[in-house]
Amino acid sequence: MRRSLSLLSLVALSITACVGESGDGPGAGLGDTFCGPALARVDSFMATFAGEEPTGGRYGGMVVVGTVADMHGMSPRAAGDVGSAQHQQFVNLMTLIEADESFDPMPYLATSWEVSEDRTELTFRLREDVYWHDGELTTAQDVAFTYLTVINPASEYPNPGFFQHYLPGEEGVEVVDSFTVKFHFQPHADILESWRGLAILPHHLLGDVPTEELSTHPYGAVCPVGNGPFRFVSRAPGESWTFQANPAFPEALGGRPYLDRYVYRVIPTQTTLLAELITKGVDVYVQMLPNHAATAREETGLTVLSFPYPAIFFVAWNSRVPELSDVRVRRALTLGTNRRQIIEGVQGGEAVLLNSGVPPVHWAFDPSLGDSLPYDPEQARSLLIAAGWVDRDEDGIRENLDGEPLVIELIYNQNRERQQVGEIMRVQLRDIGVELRPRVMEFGAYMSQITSEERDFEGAFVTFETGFRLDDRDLFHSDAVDGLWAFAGIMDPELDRYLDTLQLIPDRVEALPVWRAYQNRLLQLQPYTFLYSALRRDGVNERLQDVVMDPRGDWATIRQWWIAPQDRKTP
Amino acid sequence: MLSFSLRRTLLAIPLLLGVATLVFFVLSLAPGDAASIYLRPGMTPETLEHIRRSMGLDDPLLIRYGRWLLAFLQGDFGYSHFYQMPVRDRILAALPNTLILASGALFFAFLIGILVGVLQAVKEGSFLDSVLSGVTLFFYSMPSFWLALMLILFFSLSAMKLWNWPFSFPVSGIQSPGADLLAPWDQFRDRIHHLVLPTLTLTLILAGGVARYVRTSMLDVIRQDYIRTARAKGLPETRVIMKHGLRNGLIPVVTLFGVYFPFLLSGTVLIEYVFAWPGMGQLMVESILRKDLPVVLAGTFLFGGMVVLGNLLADLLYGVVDPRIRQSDG
Amino acid sequence: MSLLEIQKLRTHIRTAGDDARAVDGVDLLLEEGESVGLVGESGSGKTLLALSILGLLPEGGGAILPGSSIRFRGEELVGMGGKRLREIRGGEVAMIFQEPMTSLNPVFSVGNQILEAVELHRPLNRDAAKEEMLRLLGEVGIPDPEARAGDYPHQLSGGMRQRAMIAMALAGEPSLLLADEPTTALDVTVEAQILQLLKRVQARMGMGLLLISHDLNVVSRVCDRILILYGGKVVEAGPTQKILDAPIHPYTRGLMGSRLSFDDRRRTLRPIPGEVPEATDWPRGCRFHPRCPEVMDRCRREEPRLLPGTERKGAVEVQGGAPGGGRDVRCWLLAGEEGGA
Repeated sequence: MRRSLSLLSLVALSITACVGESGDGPGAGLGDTFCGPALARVDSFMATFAGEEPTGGRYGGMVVVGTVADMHGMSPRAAGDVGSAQHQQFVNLMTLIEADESFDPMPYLATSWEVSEDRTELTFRLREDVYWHDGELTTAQDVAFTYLTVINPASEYPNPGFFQHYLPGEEGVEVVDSFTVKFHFQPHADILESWRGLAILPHHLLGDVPTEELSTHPYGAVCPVGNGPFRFVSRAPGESWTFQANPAFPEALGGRPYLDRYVYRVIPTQTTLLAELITKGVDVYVQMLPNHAATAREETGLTVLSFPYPAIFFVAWNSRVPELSDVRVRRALTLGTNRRQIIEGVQGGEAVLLNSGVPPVHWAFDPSLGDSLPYDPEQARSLLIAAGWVDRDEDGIRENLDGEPLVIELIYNQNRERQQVGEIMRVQLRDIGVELRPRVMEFGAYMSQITSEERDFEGAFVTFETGFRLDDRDLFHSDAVDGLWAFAGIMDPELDRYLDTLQLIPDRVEALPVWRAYQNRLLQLQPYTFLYSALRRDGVNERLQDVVMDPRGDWATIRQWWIAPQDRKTP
Repeated sequence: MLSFSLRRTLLAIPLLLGVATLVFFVLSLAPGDAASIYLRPGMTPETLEHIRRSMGLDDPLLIRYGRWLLAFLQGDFGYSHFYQMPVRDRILAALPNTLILASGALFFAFLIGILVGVLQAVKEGSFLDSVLSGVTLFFYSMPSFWLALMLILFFSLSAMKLWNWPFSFPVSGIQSPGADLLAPWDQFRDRIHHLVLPTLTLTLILAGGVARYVRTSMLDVIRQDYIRTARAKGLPETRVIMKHGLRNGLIPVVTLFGVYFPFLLSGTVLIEYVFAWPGMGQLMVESILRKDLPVVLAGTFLFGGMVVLGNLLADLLYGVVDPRIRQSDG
Repeated sequence: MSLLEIQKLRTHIRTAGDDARAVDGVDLLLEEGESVGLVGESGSGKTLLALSILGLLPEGGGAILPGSSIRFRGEELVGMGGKRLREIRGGEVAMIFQEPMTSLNPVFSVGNQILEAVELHRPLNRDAAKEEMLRLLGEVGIPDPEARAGDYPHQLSGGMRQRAMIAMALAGEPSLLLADEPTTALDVTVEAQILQLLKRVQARMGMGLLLISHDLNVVSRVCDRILILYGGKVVEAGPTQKILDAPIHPYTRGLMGSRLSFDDRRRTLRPIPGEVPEATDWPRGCRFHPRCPEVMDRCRREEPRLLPGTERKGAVEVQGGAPGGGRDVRCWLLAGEEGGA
């Protein structure tokens, strides 16, 4: 549609057409043979609802959500980016269960579920009225297919840890009947949590695709066919994704969503995004900058929704480096950092100070822990002296017995928040005689440095989207010390014990003391200087009703968003 | 002359491949694994290995290079792992956007720049000349993103919120969301509406340079004897300047055209960023940041091709505007 | 009514300091069909004088002072502008220039440039105008006009270019042709041809011709009368033959000494010593006095007036040369005992 509009584009097409006539790399060519028929079937299925759709009242209108980055799409690999993951869960595809406002599991694609007495089996009973957007029924076959796909590393699914306690391969899943599926695993905690994150894929479309080709299959980003409340209409890469209400969405789950259309727009400059929000060009500005939130709050007709989000921000200290192998030094670095001041200065106070990797929205979060290790430069200095770091040449920086100064490089990828925090920390740590050198790096290089075997870094800023299912074994367990995520490289039998136990205690009341003990142990070891979990802010146009933003995600409630008829606009 | 240009153009193809090769090695050898962009906490090394394999990163560098070169020579640009589609499709999506924006801006920049430059040259030393010199220097030396933001502030934000102007322009994008539901004519108008601010920004910045160039060139020309001859003939002043003067004054401007021509494909990164214009400039920067090597390579080749094409066009245009070059064809 | 009547023409160039008095009170009469030569070294003001006639002085390159008058068939040209001036330019009064290479527009074919003039001044339709353009090319002696019309200036030889310039000038069927050093850039054989051409077309069309040159020899071959210009003033004027036979002003005699002629090869070349002074800074008294071999005290103090030579027979006799009647001279040598009057 877009392309047919301009003559110039035709010229451009013909220019490049003669250059690249024979494209047969991955995915090439398939775009037409797969997508054409698939989307045609969607159209004809949707056409059968013409005239039957509910109208009037809350039904109608279009909403535009603006973000700074394009999303990858609906493939298993794409679940690694937050935008894509949420569109898989809430917009285009469906998960078996969803969470209510208090994060308790709710039926979604599954009407009910049952955990066996011995906690080794989970049986889902599926809805029988969920159709893929091309008219096929969603069945247990799809669920089993999706499960087997994502546990295969070839699918490049980023959260294989979700299913690490499951029996290997096909032993883990059993299709009982068309709408019943059963999973087998070792007993473990948070059995249901994984199923809130995994979006089910259509077996009838992707069943024949070799798993290793899924990540480059056009299904993901060119023509996804889902079963969620919104069906895919079109995508202009780098520009927008357009979705349309799915009239076949089950009545029991609210039926067709109120909005006719939902557009995901990419606006890479945040200032422009703010201008679009103010001029009503977009209805939602996702992940607003703190200073933009202040501007938006003063505008009539706009509201800024701040909500806690399961993400944590910390400095990982590489304890493999001699200077940082001493826990006293790491403790001193935390004590010498005025984290409350950083929260005020960088986040405008809208963040929760952390002393462990448990975000405030997690049930095991311990608010009292935030008061530990308060800013105490005096104590930090004594710790450094005790560790043998004394300013021997009176240049303000401490040296060890060999005269080597205490210089620590802190790497991060370009990002204003990190740059600001790095600068504040540099000044604060200088006060206790430590020279911190923040160094900005290109993202790929930064990721390589902190995850490669060499671990050629001293300190690094890291932000983790933790989700609700916490498993820190990759980070801190001795067994994982050579894995990708063991930034700190600490090995502690006590910590190992907690980490092993935590994954196996299904009962929260029973688990809570272990969580406490685990967090206290972290406090002693200080592998990281935990900083904070910031509130996430979304600017929202007030014409958009019933928007709830909470830790489940920005798009979690999109099914219930609506616009009063007088507030709708024609493009 | 023409054959020389053609020969030079043909010679440029290996040169462009060389440049793309250089980019290939520089980006491949730069610190950081391209696959690490897709690393997520909780991912296993096995998954990472699969990602590397699907990105073709598991083979030795030289084999990767050979594979890329072979495919490239056959017209296969490869696969964009960030956008999850073939590079050709991705570039074809961005190219028209850049082409429309840049061609409009180039057209208006040269139109306005030439008119202003001529006016200044004719009125050399006048108050008008000084004012226009100031204005062109202002736009010429202004950071484009700043100008873009200012135009948004005036013609979108303030026009709409503060001053209640009867008109205002969209802040960003190439069309309104949902424009596909409009009638064709309204769709067209919507597109034009969106084109105004980015085109204006780019036009102002380019026109400043053109005007300064044309002014200098025209100042030289209007002192020439043939201008006096044209006057002695009894030609009206406008024809003296616009026919006899401009035709000569434009000869050096052709060079400038050759220089600006690649904008048609490369776009201008900052303007595309500010206006969320999904064109080539934005695509290239995003792809570099995301280590999406196949896109970067294809883009590099394309841009290089545009530079060569720009030079060739400039050569040909020289022939059109200057018979002395045309006739020395040999 | 004369074809061209210039009175007290003063054209000054504004500079940062004093104005350059480049043309400083020149009177000139040119009758219908008459050819007059204007001779002087570069810096004498002769080109500015010609440009003044058609109002072609370059921007900031000269301005005609009030009190000056240039009448073409009684019509005042000074201060004229707009449509009437454009009708005269290239129509009734045409002009050709010194350097045909730079005076022709390099990016248009010569045919195009001539055609432009034809269409501007003649009520002809496109085809007829084209016909006329080709005729003009033939008229000025360009062989194979059809082919040459499409040529660009750089493809023509110097002589051909000047012929094309002349054709362009003739396009409007002018009654007065101003030729500013038309042969200076050409070699000697071509020069002769161009001069012959000028003479021929002048005679055929009955045009007035003002031929400007630094070369007395060139002018003498074409013109009926000659004006010698020095320091922005006429220093001697008279019929060609009389001036050639008996130059009165020391400057004129100097010019004759420095000219190289075909018919008088025995003479050795004797250039006038020194250079023309700056127009911003004319010497007191006679402007020629610093270079004059016969300078007197009075020359340094007072400026001589232009006096009719016929009434000063005695003075002519002072020279001991041929009779100097029918002309004007500006020199204290002529003044005799009457002095400054």
